[in-house]
Amino acid sequence: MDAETFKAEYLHHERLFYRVSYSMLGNNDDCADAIQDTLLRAWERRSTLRNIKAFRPWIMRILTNICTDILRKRSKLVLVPFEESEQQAVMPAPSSPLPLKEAMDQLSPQLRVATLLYYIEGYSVKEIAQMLDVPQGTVKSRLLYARQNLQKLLHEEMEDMQ
Amino acid sequence: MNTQNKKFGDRLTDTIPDVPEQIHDTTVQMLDDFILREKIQAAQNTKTARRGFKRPTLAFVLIAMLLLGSVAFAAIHFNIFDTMIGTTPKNAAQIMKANLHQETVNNVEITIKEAGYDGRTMYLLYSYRMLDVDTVFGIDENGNAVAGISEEPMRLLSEHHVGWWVDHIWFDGKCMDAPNNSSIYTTGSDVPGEIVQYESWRLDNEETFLSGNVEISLPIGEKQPLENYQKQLHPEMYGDDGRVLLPTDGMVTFTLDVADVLGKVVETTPNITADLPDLTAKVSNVAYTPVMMYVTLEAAVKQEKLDAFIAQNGEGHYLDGKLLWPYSGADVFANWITQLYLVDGDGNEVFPNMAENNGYIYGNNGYSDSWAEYLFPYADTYPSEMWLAPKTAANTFDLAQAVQVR
Repeated sequence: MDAETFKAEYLHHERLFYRVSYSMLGNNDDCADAIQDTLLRAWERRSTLRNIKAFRPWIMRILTNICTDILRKRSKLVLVPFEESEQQAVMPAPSSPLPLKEAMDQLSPQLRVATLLYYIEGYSVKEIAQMLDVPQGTVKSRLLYARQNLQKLLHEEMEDMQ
Repeated sequence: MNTQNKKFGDRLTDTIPDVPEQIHDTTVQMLDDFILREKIQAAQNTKTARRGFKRPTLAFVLIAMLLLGSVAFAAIHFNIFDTMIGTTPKNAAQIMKANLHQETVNNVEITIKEAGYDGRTMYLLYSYRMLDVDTVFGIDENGNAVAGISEEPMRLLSEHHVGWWVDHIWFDGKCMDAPNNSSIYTTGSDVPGEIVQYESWRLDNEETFLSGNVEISLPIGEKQPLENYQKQLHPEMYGDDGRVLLPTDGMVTFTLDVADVLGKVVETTPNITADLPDLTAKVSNVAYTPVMMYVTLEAAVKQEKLDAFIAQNGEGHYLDGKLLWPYSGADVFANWITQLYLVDGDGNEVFPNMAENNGYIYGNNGYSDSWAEYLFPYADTYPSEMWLAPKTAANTFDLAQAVQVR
């Protein structure tokens, strides 16, 4: 893959990559760092990408790994695997509904990313699983937990959403 | 996706901003840098294939140069320009000298391989060869030339306590601050332990002009403690002009004969003001040197246009709610000033496909609220009438929005 193709492919998905990093990191300073590191790392490893059609999930994996590293350094907490945190996933409902952005901020980065990719970007569960390099069941679980928590935080019924 | 989900998605969209301009610009810059490095690499590979860039061949070239002096210089003279410009200007050989100096410091062999001066810019090509390092930094395991330099060789050089240690250059013992619009590029080579530095220094931006035999002192020897040069602690290190006296240690000095290159520079001052919708502008200086054309443009935004811009876009650039800097003239006319092409009186581009044919550094070379610079290739003759004009369509330039150059 030559540099011109790399540039074209990246810019084609630029908005998606930015939105994913923002949904995980929540501020533009960290987003800028994450995106720059992603570009450098992806460019150094471009020879490992055999099929240009896999560009998006390939970049996405690099980006989410870098974002996770930033979150670890920021919080100095170990991010436990999602399956272990399921027990803490359901939040208590606040006394009054939160604005949507605040509600989203209450979600963990993994839930935010899954929600973004499904509801905003319109990807299927299968596509999200490929991008994030997790099983489809994990994606479904994350969407379920995100939905349940948002229902409580927004004081809205979301039963019809699938 | 069902309607309910889509509506929810639309609500969610408002919670996440679009790509900020600053992040987008930085991204594009990085991606363009990858393209540029790939082109440099391709050019180096082409020359590598042509010359068979193998160590014995290179050794022969160097030995031949030492024996024959500047005559054999032609074998590698294109490197500095191909790296710093993208192509070698026609008269490059006229201004460049080779094999100017060599000395060993802390087991590092420092060689001034090439140097030259065109009346505005000084070009330098020198190397650090760590004699106790066996690693080749410029060729990968597949035998391909490597673009740029990684951290490891620079770390090794730092451990030898050798390398650039202060931002000054001395000419005939007189100190000059590192000038704006200068460039540095670093690579390895096929010689074990060698790091190669390509540098272009815009001496004119520090009002420094060279002629005759010039003694040039670079702070690239053994690194010196900077506290020894703090003015408050060591005033004896400063001359009456307030500049640092030539240090006795840590310097590599050589002599460059620039002859009367300044006598070959043709300078004009058009100063024909263009009254444009958003600003007034004029080309205040044009310098035609043996290898390049330098164009200086002065600009001033119209106050009512700046006021209208602020009314429409806000006070300035914000990041996370904080004002980074207020909008100014440069924001109003950035698109115009960075997209000017050199055209003749009939609106024909003087250098079509300039980046591809002549080199990637040509065109706009920086701008501010009041100034912009443009670099164009050397030509034996230029059109009698020239303008800096914006492009409105493919091969179409708007002379009504242009500034006269000649």
